[in-house]
Amino acid sequence: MKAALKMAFRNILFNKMRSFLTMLGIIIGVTAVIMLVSIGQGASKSITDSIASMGADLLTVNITDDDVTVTEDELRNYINGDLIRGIAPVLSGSVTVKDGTSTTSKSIQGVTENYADVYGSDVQSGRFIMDSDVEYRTNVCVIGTDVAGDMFESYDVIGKTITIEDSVFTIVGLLEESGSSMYGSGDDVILVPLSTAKRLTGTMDVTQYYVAAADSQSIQRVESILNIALYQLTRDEDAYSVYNQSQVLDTMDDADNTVSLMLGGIASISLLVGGIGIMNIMLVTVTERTREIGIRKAIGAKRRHILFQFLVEACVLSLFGGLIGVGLSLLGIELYALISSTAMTISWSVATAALAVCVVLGVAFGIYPANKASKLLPIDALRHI
Amino acid sequence: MIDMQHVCKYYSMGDELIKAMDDVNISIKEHEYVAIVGPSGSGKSTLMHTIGCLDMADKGQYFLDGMDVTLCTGGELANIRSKKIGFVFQQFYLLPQMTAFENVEMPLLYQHMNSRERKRRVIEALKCVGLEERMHHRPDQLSGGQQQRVAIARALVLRPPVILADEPTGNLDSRSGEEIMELLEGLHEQGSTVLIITHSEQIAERADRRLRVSDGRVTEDAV
Repeated sequence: MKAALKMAFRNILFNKMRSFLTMLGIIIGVTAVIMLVSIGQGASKSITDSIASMGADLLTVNITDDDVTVTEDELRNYINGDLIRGIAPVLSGSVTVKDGTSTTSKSIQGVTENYADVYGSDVQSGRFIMDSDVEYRTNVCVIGTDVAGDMFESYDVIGKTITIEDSVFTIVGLLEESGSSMYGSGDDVILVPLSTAKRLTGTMDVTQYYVAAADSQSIQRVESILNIALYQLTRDEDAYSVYNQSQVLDTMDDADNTVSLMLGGIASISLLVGGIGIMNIMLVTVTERTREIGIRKAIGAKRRHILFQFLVEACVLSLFGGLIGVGLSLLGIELYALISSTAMTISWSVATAALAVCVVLGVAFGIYPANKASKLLPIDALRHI
Repeated sequence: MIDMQHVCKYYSMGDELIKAMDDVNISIKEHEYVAIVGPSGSGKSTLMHTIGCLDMADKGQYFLDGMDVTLCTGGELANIRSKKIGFVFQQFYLLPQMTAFENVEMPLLYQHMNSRERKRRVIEALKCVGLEERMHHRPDQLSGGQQQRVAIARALVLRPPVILADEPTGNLDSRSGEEIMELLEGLHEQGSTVLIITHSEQIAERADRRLRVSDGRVTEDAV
């Protein structure tokens, strides 16, 4: 056994170029599979994480018809207070924001104090919008980390001011980082008191409500109550819509799985191509070494000796290539995580599977020609040129 | 030691049937020194391969050391080859990726033998051919004569009773050839049965007994 391993290493080293080319196919295949699947899984994890952070018990009500007004009190009348944790009205609008010299167009959201609890967002420093801010229509705002980065190039923003539509606003809070999702960055937000937003945008009507169910069991009941309430209030099915976050989550999950599957499929093809490469080289190797097989048989090697030798060689070669591939993909994933600044981890189950597949391929394709050669009469193998 | 009765081996080449061995009867006793002579194409190589159990006869019986080889399976033949016969080939047939030591060690790897015993035997065999100081050289670092001596060391490392040499001097200059012949004759003096296949009358003359082969038949058996 030790002698066989030693012999295998010697043969692999003796033909460095050929061994390298054989391994290259495996290396590329394994690296591609692991990297693509890991990146796919990482991307889908960050999306689902950011959606899940909003809370799976969250319902979103959109009033899509401009002519219709639905107030928070009207909605509350329909729902038993025990079923919900809170309703947070949101008024979205586009405004111009000035900081020093540059002017940019940004969207702001007018919110109330319970938005933080309902939507599941929190400040990392300072404080959130308070009911007194709404009452007195103060010029304060809470900003996301992206806005802080863009405007101040630092997270030390509490007490600083920005100018929104020619009014000076004091920054009172900085939101926790929520990460980016498919909808764009969740950190590129400016939150102001709801009453202030009404003044800034010149509209009185809240167009969006976040409704947090008391728990995930009651979410479907709340959803149907909302649908009935909204229909009775508007008498128009097309004037509103109610989304369930967990529905969105499920849809996203499906989409992510499809993407992961597709990436995995593409990578598997490259692994298969790598496997065909191994088969090709193994066929050539064994054919080339038919005379060696003849010599070994002439001096007393049995069939199993020959088979064992090629099995060990194929195993060592493909395992070695596979391990290099795993190493490379570890490196590549680190690099990708660094560049894209997203947390990314290697999928060890995929790494193991890819490694297993390439070893099986290497051995299968190595054993087939070796078995053929080992069956030859020694003299026929010796005469082989 | 070697007893062949009515052994035949045919090849078909297109429509033509080639009789590489046609009713061959040979009997060689222990400790004999025999040359098998004949021009190329006479069937002497086929005869040698059959004697060496590298090839199987189509017809007839072949007893090697009393055992009917024609009834043996592949695995048994491998055993017989390693225990009874040491081969020396015209083209040496050393493995290029291995040192002289490892080439000589190879037959021992297929036997159950611990590494200390292997090392002792390999060095003993290399000493016998005068190459112990070159045992860590690879074949491409050795001259033709030295390579053939490594091959002889490999043939005798398992101490087989029969040494089969197929044109052992065919690829060598006359001086190295002479050295190889002296080595083989030395083995004969130590008690081995030595068979040399050659087309050279000069080499055949040195043997105690000559079997002349032509067209697959033994035409002359001279002492």
